[in-house]
Amino acid sequence: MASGNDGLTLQDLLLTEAVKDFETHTPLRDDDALIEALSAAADRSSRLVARARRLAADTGLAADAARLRDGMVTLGIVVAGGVFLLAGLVTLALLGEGRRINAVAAMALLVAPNLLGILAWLAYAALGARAGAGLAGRAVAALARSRWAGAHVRRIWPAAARVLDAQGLTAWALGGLNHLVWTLVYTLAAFAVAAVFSFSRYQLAWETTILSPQALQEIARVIAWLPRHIGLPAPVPETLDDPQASQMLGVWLIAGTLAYGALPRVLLALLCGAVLAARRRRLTLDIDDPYHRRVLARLEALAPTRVIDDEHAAPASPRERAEGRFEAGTLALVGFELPPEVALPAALLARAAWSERLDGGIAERQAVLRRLAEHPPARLLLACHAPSTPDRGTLRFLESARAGGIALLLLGDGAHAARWRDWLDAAGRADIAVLTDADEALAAHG
Amino acid sequence: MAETITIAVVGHTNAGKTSLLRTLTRRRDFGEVSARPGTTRHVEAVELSCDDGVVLRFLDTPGLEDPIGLLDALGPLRADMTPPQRIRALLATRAAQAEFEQESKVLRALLDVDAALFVVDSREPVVAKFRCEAEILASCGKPVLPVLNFVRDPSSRETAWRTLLGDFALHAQVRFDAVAPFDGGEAQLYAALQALLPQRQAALRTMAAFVERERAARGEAGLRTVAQALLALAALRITVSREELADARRKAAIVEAFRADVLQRARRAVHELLDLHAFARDDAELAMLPWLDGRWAADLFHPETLRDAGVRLGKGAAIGAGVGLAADVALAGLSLGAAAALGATVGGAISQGFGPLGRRLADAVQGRESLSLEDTVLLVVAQRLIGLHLALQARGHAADDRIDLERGALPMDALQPLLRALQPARAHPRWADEDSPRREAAQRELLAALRALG
Repeated sequence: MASGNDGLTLQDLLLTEAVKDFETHTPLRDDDALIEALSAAADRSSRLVARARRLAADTGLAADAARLRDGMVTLGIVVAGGVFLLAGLVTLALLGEGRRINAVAAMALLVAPNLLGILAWLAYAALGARAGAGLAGRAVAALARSRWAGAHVRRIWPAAARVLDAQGLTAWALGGLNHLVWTLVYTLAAFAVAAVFSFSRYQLAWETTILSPQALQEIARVIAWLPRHIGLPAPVPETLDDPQASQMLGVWLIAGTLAYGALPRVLLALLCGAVLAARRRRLTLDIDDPYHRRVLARLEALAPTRVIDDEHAAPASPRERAEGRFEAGTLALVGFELPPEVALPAALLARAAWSERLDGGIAERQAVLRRLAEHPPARLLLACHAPSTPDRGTLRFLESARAGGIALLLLGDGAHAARWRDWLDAAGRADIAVLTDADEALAAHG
Repeated sequence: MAETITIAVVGHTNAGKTSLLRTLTRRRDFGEVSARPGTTRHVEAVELSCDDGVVLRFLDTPGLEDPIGLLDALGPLRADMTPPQRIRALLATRAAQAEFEQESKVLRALLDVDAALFVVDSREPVVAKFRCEAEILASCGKPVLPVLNFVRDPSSRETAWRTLLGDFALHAQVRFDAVAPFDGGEAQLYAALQALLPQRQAALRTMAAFVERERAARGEAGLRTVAQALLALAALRITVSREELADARRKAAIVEAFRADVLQRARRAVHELLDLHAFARDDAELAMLPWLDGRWAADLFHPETLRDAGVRLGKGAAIGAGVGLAADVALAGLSLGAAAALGATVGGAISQGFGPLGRRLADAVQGRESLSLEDTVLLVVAQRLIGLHLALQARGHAADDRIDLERGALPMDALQPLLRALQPARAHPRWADEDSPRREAAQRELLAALRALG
């Protein structure tokens, strides 16, 4: 599940991914960062980002990312240089050698590579989601990994490339840059040609060996359709004998450069910009990534719990020892909350002066306590169900029972004896013996 | 604005209230769990929140230890009182601060919640005190959902309990084992709560969907963790010169270093799975696993382990790398390129381009050999990691027994499809540490094979 969040920025995702890379090789102590993240945000993506931001600051990754961003200025200067170089090359291609220009051929030379370039980009954009950054991206990634790249680039770039890929931005970012470059190249080239034509005399015409001049003129008219529709002058001479023919074709060539070179590129650059802007508003963090899941599990374990009704029991009052006269030699046997299928041991029943099974309510319990008070036996044997949990109800009965000596006889699995012993000790009744065997009880009370 | 639903978890002492909350909130450290009765002596709140703004606030309460005495203290229901008024009246008495101090905490919590989960240890005999308990809880004026715990225990008295609860009109009941939850147990619990709290149905449905989504996401993330580890191990390869291999001491050192690297990676995967499922690495019972305390090293590379795995694998063509083991017992678990990886190289060349084959030929010409991991070792690691992942996914966060990886372990021959999916990694040593679109594609294939194992 990807968690969308309005507040997420590319920088957030970049730092989160960079910290993830870092932690793959170097485990980080992140206790403080986790606590900070827990209080900084309520939603899970923001918490992950908050933790990563703190760790990125501590590890220097944030500084690395800032350096990489600053390095983009250098990259921009290199790109600008490239733009001027390309513009020069395009201008030279349009002007050709000498002072005679085959205008239609020059236009074809301009349009064909541009359209091919655009088609190639469209194909890449269509496959881009799966193909990563393509060849250019791989070349940049290889360069970023190489020893020529600075340490900060090596630490940040793989994360940056993955973030762009994961958010579906790579194709559009590279495309936007590419189209922007070519928009500038063709615009500059058009101005350069205009400047050259303004101050130098060139002879523009169309030339053919097998086509008729009318066919070329018709092609020129078709090409002029687009520039005219966007408001650019693109005159096509009726005949090359027209004294204005060269001038008209010069303007036609410049208009064509702008319409077929710069215009599609500027439109595509705008499209890329629009897609990038839309996707940047919907940046998501893949919280189902195992790494993020692990961090979330630890974050959630840190969420505070709150004691809302603390223990404030009054200290137990010292227990009064049962005193007085007990009926000498008598043994009372009480089965306390025993399951119906558990019978009281026959030998003990035979030996006991009296016996009761207690599994009813308060009236039954009080009746037995009354009997114990009225005829306190020398020994009381309370038979309990060993696997059951000893509780305060049992303890209250023991505390209220009047007898010369009390012992517990556990019926059932004797393995639970230690639990009952611990419980009696914790309740301050170390004096009560815990027995697990009827014969043992018989011997003790015989 | 978050919608908060407050639910008290009540029941007799030691019925498993805190355990249930540990499992529901996946908080291994929540509260204190022990066989000693009366472990929880205060009311403690823990929250479970989902991304869609619903918060379940659970209140863990002390056990109702003397319901017979408590019912007696409440007295008979007077004609001028409702049952909750009777409870409020008791809370105002001195007895509520003294002998029924613990029980009063439970009653106070109950008066202030949306619903209560009544946790029942179904192994306990249904005696009078539990009838009193059911009567008190059923009269608190809040929806109460009985949760039958330990129903898989042979000594469970589920039928008797269901009858008792029905007698107090607590007909909606769920079975939920807090220590080893049933598959879909949480979903059933939330569905029952929805029926009990119709006015909170939408929020509870949201929470149930969130919990289920999270469970599925953890399952997938676990498989991705296993896939990443296996792919890296399959890709692991070091190149050594034949002179180094000829020197017994240097060879032993190289093999030892390689094995240490393998173990470190496997151990990292184990830790990642524990972290993912929110189990602590230093849980005493988990530390018993040979994986974490170092004994696994001896186990994994022990020739007998590998021979055993190899025998179970049969003599399928895909297991050609086993030749390495037969040829050189000293290398147990590792393969030398010439002996073992020819099939992988050819297979890799066909599916991945001829770069790896070229590298292999260059190694051969320059007198180098490459050392990689046996398929059998890969399968043993796969078996253990998958087993651990499944065990942790099914494990409640209150469990304190040792994880038994042998029980329910996938048979070796069922894991064979993984080897095919791992084959491309054999030709790409860089995949041990680096990501790439092709590695991701291979990981998707491997994930599909892992999912197909069921």
